[in-house]
This record gives sequence, C-alpha cells and structure tokens, in this order.
Amino acid sequence: MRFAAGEPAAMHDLYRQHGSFVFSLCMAALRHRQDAEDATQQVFTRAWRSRDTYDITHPTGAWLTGITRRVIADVFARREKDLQAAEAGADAAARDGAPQPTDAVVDRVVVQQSLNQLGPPQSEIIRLAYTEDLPLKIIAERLEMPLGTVKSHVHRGLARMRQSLEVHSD
Amino acid sequence: MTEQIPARNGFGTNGHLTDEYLAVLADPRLAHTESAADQTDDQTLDQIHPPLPAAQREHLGLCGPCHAAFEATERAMEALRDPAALHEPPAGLWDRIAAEIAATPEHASDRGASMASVTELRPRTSDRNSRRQSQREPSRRSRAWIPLAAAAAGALLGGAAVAAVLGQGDAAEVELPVAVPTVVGDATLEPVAAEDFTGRAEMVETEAGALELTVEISAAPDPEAGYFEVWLRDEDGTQLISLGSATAGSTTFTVPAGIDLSQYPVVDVSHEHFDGDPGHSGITLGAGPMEEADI
Repeated sequence: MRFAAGEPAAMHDLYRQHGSFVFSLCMAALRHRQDAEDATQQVFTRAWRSRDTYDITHPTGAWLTGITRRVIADVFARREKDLQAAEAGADAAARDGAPQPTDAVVDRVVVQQSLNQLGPPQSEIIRLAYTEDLPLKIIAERLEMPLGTVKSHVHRGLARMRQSLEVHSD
Repeated sequence: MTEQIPARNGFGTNGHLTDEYLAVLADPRLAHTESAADQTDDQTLDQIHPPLPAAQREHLGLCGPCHAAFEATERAMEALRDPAALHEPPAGLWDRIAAEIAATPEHASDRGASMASVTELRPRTSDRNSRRQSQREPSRRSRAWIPLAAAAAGALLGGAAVAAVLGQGDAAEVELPVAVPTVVGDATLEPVAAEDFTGRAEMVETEAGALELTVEISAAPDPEAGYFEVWLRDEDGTQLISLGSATAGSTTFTVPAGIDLSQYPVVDVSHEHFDGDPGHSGITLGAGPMEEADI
C-alpha cells in the first residue's frame, strides 16, 4: 500500500475510492450534514496518522469502516456529553431521534454500495424483490425474463451482498 | 459456501452449502420448483415451502461458516428493506483533509503520541479468522493464536521453530537446562452440535521439542454407533488435520512436526461414524480457538 509508505497522493486515491462510502456511512449514522463532513474528515486524517498499522492482508474499505465506526462512536459520545452539560435533553433528543445501532447503519450502507456495484439488471431485480417487496413472478413479467433467470440473479446478488457484509463486519 | 458449481442437494464441492442454497434458505421464494409458492402471497409460504432436508438443516446448525453466511444473507435482506442513501462528499472536503494531513507533523514525538489512539484501530491479523465469533466472544480477539504465530514471538511456537529445535537437539538442551514440558496454548471447546458438550485442550511443548495436544472431554453425548475424532483446522473448516480418535476423558496426541499452527488455529472434536470415510463427518460436537498460554 502506497499510503502506508507515507504518500499523501495515495491517501487521495483512497479518498476517491472510499470517500463516498465513508461520507454516506457518516450521514446515515449521524443524520447531520455538518457532523458527517467533520466525521469524514476525521476518518481520513486518522487513517493517515495510523497508516503504519494498516494490515495489507485486509481490504482498505473494511479498515476504513472500522475507523469510521470509532469516529461515529466518538461523535455520539460527544453529543451525549453536550446534552448533559446543556441539560437540553428534550430538544436534542427530538432533533436526532433515537440513533439506529451503528451495525445496522453499516449494513444498510454496505448493501447499497454493493448493489450499485452489481449494476443492472441484478441491482434492479434485487431492489424490486427486497426493497419494493414484489413477488418474483411480477418482477419476471415486468422485466420480461424467465422466472428462473430472475431467481438466479437474486441468489447471485444476495451472495455478493452477503460477502460485502462479512468483509465490513470486522 | 462460495462455490458456483451447480451442486446436488445444496452442497458444493467444498462440502459447504452453495450460494444458491443459502439464498433459498433465507428466502424460500427462490426455490427452483415452479411450485404454487410463486403464485401465493407471503403468509402461506411457510406451509407451501417443503421442509428443509435433514442433512442440510443439520449442516446449517453445525457448520459455523455456513451459519454465519446464512445470517449475513438475512442481514442483507433486512438492510435492503430500508435503503440508505449514498452521498458524494462535498467538493471541498478533500482539500480540508489534505490540508490537515499536510499540517500533521512527521516528528517522532508526534508519531509516538498518536500511537496511543492508533493502536486501538489496528485491524488485527486474527480478525479475518475470528470475525465470525467476534460478536459473541469479543474478548477472545486479543489473545487469539494467529497473531502470536505470525508475530516474532510466535517463532517459539511455529512449525519452523519446532523443526529447528528438533534438528539441533543438543544445542537446545544446553540452551534450555530446565527440561520440563511447557504449556504453549490452550483452548476451551465450546459446544457446537451438542449442547451438553464441554471440553478443553492444552498444547504443550515437550522437553524434546515435540508438540503434544491433550484433549479433555469432560461431558459429551454418548457417541452411539461412532466415536470422537480430534482435528486441528482453520476457522472455516476448509483445511483440517486429523489427530486421531478420542475417548471421553483425557487423550493426548502428538502434533505432526512442521505443522504451521497459524493455518490450523482451531481445535475441533467431531462425532464420526464407522463408515470408513476418513473425512470430517461435518458434525462438530465442540470446538474452540487455540490461545496463547499465560506464561
């Protein structure tokens, strides 16, 4: 890994590759644009500072997910502290709502990213089957595909998403 | 479980459930049959979907990787129900990051200071192997066998080191005047297929430099028409070495010299039948990762 050797340009590559994923994760978890921007900045600067601990046998995406989880946890901890200090619990709680567990947020973002990478028609079929919850027969009719083809797109797509989840669950 | 080869009965050539079968398990609508299930609404699916064949149901219950894959498939389906929006970060964000990185001093003192927080972030070498258990057993990660064998300290335990000690026995004797067996690791065998299974394993290095594994099975179901077999394997169960058959109570095995223990970090006790098949039956009664001994 070039960034592990200390090349800022390589860090930029890493940002180009994973910036959207990290930012989306921060947005989904923190539900606040400015906080998500700050958190994303922190993820990449932390990654830069800790680059000599990067294990080259692991995917960089999973490594960044781990750092992002910690940054998100730090933001939640800081919010909690601010809340107590300000004793303005009711307002802030109403604004943020109950935060979803970060694990579930990671799953949701990882799955969407994986779906985008699948591309059509698999991504469309998976979306119709699970996000829209349509019967497979209807999907087959709508896309003018044999039912068996729809099924095999679904099981291959699910396998890809499951593998992405396993990578990012470290 | 990643086999793409069409397989019979849901099993791939690697002995795990296929991707297709895992998907069918998670979503019965995907079953190949052009059955009534395709025309029926979800409420009646359970009644229409045929019961899972026993062999596959048993495998899913016993095989850690397949069970984890099944759970991840269900998580994927759950996560799809509530899609997260993907956002492009704002245009100026990289410039802010680049500026902060450029302002980060490269002095040794700073590196040292940052290490305290940085160390926590380190993706451990063991993660890939222990991740399927990590949610249940977070405390195990730090003491897993893998990083030890992979790290410099692991040279003491690695197959190469054992071979070296064996190869220069005289010199080793001089170097190590205290000729007592040394406990190098142990494993708690958690029940897998049998709830009433308890056991532990201890690896010792003898004074001659050989590795011996003693497995104590303190409680186990009656093996009926079969016997217990002890294995060293990887986390996924794709690489296995049989150490031999065991009885309830204590059994000691000689670990083959030269084995790379980092490749076989898990001790596994299986239930085997007298069927002449030398492979693992797929029924793991109990298993656990070998951990570095507290020396």
